[in-house]
Amino acid sequence: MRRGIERRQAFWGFLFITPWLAGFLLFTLGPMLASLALSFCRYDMARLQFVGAANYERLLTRDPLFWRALWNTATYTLFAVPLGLTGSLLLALLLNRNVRGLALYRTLYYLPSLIPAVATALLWNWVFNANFGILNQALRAAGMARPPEWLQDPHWALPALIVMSLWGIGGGRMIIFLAGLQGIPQSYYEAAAIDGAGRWQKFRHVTLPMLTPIIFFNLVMGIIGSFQVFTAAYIMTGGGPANATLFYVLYLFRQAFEQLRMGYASAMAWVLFLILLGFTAIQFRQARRWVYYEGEPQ
Amino acid sequence: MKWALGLLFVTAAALWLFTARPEPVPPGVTVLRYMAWGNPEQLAAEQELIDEFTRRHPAIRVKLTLVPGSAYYQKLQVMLASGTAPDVFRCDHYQFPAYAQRGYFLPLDEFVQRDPDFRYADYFDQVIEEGRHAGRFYGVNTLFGARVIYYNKDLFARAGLTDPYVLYRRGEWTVEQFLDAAQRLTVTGHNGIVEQFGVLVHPLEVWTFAWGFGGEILTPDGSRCVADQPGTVQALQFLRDLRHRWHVTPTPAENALSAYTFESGRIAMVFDWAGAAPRYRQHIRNFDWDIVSIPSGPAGRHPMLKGNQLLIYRQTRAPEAAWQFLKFYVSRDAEALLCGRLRRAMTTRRDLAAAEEYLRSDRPPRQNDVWIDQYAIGRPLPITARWSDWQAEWNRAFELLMLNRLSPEEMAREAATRINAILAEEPY
Amino acid sequence: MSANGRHAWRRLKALAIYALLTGGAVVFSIPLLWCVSAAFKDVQTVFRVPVQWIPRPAHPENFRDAWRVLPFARFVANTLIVTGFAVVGQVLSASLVAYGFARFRFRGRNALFMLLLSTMLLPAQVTMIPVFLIWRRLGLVDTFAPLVLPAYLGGGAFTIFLLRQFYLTLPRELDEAAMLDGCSYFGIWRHIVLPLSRPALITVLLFSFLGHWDEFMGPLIYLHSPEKLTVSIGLRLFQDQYGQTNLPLLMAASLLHILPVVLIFLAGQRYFIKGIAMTGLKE
Repeated sequence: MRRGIERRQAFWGFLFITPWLAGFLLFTLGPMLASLALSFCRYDMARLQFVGAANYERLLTRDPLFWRALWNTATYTLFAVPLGLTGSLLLALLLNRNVRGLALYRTLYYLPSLIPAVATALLWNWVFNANFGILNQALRAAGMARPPEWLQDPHWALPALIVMSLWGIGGGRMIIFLAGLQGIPQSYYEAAAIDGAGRWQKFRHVTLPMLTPIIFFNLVMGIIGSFQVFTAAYIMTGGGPANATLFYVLYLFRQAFEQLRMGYASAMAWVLFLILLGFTAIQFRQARRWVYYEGEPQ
Repeated sequence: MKWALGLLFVTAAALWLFTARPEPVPPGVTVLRYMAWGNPEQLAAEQELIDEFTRRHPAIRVKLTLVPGSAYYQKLQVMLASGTAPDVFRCDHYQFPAYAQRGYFLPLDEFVQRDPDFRYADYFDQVIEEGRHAGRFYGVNTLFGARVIYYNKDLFARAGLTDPYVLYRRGEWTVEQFLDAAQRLTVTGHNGIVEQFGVLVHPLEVWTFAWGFGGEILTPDGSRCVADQPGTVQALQFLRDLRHRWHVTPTPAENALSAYTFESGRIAMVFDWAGAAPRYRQHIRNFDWDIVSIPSGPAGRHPMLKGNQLLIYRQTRAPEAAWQFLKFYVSRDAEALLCGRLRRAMTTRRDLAAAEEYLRSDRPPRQNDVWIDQYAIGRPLPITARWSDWQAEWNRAFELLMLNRLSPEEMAREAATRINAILAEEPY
Repeated sequence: MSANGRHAWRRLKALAIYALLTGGAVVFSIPLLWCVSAAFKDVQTVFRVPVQWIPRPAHPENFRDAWRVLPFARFVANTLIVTGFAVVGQVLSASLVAYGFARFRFRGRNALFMLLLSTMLLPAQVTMIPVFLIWRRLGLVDTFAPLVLPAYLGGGAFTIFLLRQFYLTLPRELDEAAMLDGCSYFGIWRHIVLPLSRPALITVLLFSFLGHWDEFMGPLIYLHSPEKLTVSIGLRLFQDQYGQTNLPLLMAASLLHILPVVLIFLAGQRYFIKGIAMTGLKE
């Protein structure tokens, strides 16, 4: 009897995931393996030549820009992810209340994340302008005599991009948090109220635990996405000034499409893959301790 | 039941919409795929040329693929790597040697030999030279041009300065005069904010001034960096001083992407390629402007010359039709449109360069004789297949120089050492 | 605290929250207002400082010009077709696959899930060409297929992972009750899981719409014929080879471009109201 149920589960489980599995086998597995193979080759878009681990060796021992790019990207992630996550969560909590004009507020916070990248880049170049930009004007009005030169200063360019990423706290991440908050059954809050829980207790013992699967999602995706940050640096700073904003994927892109070193770029991609795989595996392991799934299969 | 019918309809619609249905081609007609970059106005001009070509060659149908300039090479590379590139496409000379080396292009020598309509002698020498690689001829030249100075005539007049063109004709348009003009044309308002700057420079100007001061950045064959020599250091110093000593050009902070542009009337002189003329024509409404050659330095006047190549894909299935299109694109009529009427580029043809219709213009730029001078005095950039290898290093050092974090000597020395290390490595 | 005191405290908190929300909204809106204002300016004055918030003279014809200078009607139609089909496919297939990962136990499930996630870890630049070669072999380059078909095959790890997280928050008792009533697995998906996760589905719909509406790389490399291009390519054409952008036209076109997304967002809002925390202000 047990075996029958198990077999049924396995059959249906596989059936449901078939669309993804089919797509993976058709369109994803081959290219991924191809890029892995390329990483052991020298491929300049015309000639292909097997070179063993030469790309990796050069990457890890003779390429200072690799370490610079990794450092820039890791720093960016270290700040942008926690700040963004906290910001989005707080915003979602604020926007989950019965305030007047809720739809308008939510839209106003969401709109900035919709503006196309090119327009955003021009806009922020203007905002960060050392002389005319409103950011420095505000800082000067607040008393700072010589505000930083932001995108023109190698020390402040990366912080500028981190600040810019905060504009997205009202974006998709927040919507996901909102959806998560919406999914918490009212009955839980009512039961807690009957038990005499106050606002803070409700938050701590109902909201937060029920939200942990979503927080986990945003955390994992946040790190994966942040390590692959590309567009802002590509359009706005070009990796500068003086490689201060040279992000990993930007450097990879240049190797692939400007220097036509596809094999080398593939090696870079797989190094990133391993790093992210490590991070993700650790996070999943840790998740058992703090993520609460109401409907966890036994 | 309705559900199933709906699904059927949707599936049919999807199959119709999403599967490949090659366009039926009437017999005897060759389809030619042509790819170019451009903004909407430029692409409209391309279409005009294509229409004229189709009128003359009804058996050839040209399909234009529009690509945004900023993503052109990504698309092209995917197409080249997958063997699906268009029959005819344009390539910037920056990329030409690297791509030619990879065997992407069809050599044109035989076409030229067999075709009496196309003669090398019709074109300026540099134009043809650019299209050569490893002894073979691959591409006709299009969007060819020199780097010149666009200047605001009204601002000069208002400041009581002699028009640079007049100085140029008198042989007096020197770096000193240029600097003097830039200084007198930089005006600061009462609130300390600069209302107009004398000049706008681009990192490319380092070549202009290095050559003008007798220096070099790379050896002419592009194999070694020789930037640490007096002429080059002088040029680097000059460029840095423009910003940090004489303040005649805005810092990047002051100019965050175009707070000061030539079109807005807040810049008196801007260095730019010949191809910038249509844009200025379109956007400048309330002042008179024109072009003049770059100023001459102690070692003479050596403007940059560079074009783009129009090429035939090696694996094309319509080489004859492609050759007809290439020939047409650099014919007198086509260039009269592109270079004469639209001022998109300097003409590559000797006959058009001498023609009244090319020299005369009822809208700026009017001083088109300046273009003619460029052929004689212009110099090509030493672009080789390794051009992109060292750019990042040079740009980084140059950025630090312009941010005043490196002295010109330091910058030149550091750049030369690092770049030579890169160039000495085996090419990838 | 007295009843009056509590009341006053609550009003103060309400006021503080409104102030915070409004202040934040203003700060967040400033760039957008600048974009709207820029759309009405012309090239010469768009970057003038100090900022002229209300452009004088205004150029509303930018909107008309942006629409006309390229065949935007065609581009929008193409983008609507691609996005419409893709969104339907993604919502359906992602929820099916996520259901499989969330609710079933089978050997290799966790390994397959890690495999799913790992597809997000490799930058797309290095698989772009091999994938293109596959589509070329299928003969589907220069069609909409490469842009739409993947959506029906799970639609990407992001949405599957997201929905899986949501489904794992739904208590199993509901499933078990339904099974006792004779419901099939598919029926559970259709009658229990889907309705209960409506906010999540709307979110996926929004993400999917936005992702396909804005997609640039796919249309860039797969579409050659000018009559098949999408809006994102059209917008990029406003930037010429020198990187100079006709900003007012670009802004006008961009504002028109985000309009459908905003409308969908607003329309989806009513599914995000029911679960408003009862710890709101109007108790």
